[in-house]
Amino acid sequence: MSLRGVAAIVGVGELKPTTNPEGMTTLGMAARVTSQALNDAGLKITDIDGLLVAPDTIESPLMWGGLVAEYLGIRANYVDIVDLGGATAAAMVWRAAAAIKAGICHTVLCITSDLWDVDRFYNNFVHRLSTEAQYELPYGPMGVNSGYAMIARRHMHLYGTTPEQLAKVAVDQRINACHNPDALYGDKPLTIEDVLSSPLVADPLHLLEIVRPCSGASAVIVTGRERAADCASKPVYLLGAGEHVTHSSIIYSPDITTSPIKQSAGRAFAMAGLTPGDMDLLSLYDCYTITVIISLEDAGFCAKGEGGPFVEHNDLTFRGNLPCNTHGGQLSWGQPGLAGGMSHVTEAVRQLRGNCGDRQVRNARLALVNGNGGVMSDEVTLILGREVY
Amino acid sequence: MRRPFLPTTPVSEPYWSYLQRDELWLPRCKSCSRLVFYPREICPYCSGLEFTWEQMSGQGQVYTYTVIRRPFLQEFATMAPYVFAIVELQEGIRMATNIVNCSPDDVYIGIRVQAVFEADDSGRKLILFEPA
Repeated sequence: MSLRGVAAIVGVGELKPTTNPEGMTTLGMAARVTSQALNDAGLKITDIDGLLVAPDTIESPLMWGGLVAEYLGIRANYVDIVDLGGATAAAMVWRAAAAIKAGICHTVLCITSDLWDVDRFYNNFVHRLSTEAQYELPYGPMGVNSGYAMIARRHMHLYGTTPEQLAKVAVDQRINACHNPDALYGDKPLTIEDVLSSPLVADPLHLLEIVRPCSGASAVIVTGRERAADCASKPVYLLGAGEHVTHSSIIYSPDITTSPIKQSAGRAFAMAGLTPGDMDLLSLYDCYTITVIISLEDAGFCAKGEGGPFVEHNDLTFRGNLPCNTHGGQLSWGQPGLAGGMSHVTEAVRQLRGNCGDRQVRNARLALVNGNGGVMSDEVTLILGREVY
Repeated sequence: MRRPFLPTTPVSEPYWSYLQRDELWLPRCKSCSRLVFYPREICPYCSGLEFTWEQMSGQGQVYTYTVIRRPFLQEFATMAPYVFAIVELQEGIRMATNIVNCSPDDVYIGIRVQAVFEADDSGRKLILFEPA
């Protein structure tokens, strides 16, 4: 079943990420982004008949979808929870389109809303829930940091990727953040020196190569192509989608320096009938600098192992030859839990609509969005377009 | 220090029991003959359900690693900085471990290592690796 041109994103809502969520609740933030997305689309809550939610990573109540539907006043014909970590948001978009194509529902609200508590998350949740963690936890991993650090170390060993090349990703994205008033870290540009002189958190990754967890929420509304034409906003069409999951813990990854984006992007490009060279901008999940470099390689923007020199010699800023993460990426915009993944969707939509003000990419027609969950384990790639090309 | 051990299951129990005797044993799938780590109820390569346990050499090399300086887990505060690594056994299996009995600066990808079996303050042993 192809989803090419079946559905469009017609509404976007997003809160500015915050490190001080005092008084905020997951449901409350979900409500605010829902209101924004409805206004953006010119829709009412009664127009929504499908709901996709991300798991609440801190509270994880049972039957969270039903609670969100009740709170917002949605009478839903389709409710589900999507649990693919950083790939959750992108995964919601194609699931919404598939449900619409199947005739199960016609308009789907997709919400990510996260109140972040890093200690609770790592001590109570990530490491201790799975019985399979018994082979890893006694050695003192450092959450996902140690996983990505080990990926970066081996990539440097195999391909000669340098710390400066890794740092360049954070530097370029910071320039983008400096043109986005909603970025958590958009006050001043960074230099490669700044990145490399920040503390080594997990060798070889420095503090400024690692996302800053925070709190926030984002939502999008997906509807069928015909209904999209009647919405208040300019529709952004889903042209291709692909998903691939290979492991949970990086210890058991089939190949630690190769991302399943290889398969997910391959499938997305095939569905869209497009190639990497057709893309006007990229919105690549960037939990760490190394993630962007490997994603560029395995999605086909450069040869395997060439990601380091590629980012060194290309301009990833909004005014560059290959604009990437024009909102600043999660490295500079912030990582409000699973809403961090949604920010790659919302930014691509805003760019394709031409709504990005100072950081607008000229004549942006086609965007690649990637969601990356776990430790380079869960990948979802979307191709979005201003028209159905 | 006390390491954060998790409860074992009937499937994982042989693995941990052998470690208490300073031996590393892993399950081999009876139908496709591949070694499987970690132990589970089904072979992830062929869906086979029966395994035989086999002793490993304890020899391997560092596949990749990181040096942890600011542990998330309280238990490791006194151990930092320490090496969290993936070791590839001679038999081809990769596993998480710590590289011990050397400075973190001595570790590199490809360094040959051998198993050491070490108890934490609770008396329970696990497998670590040191330069060979």
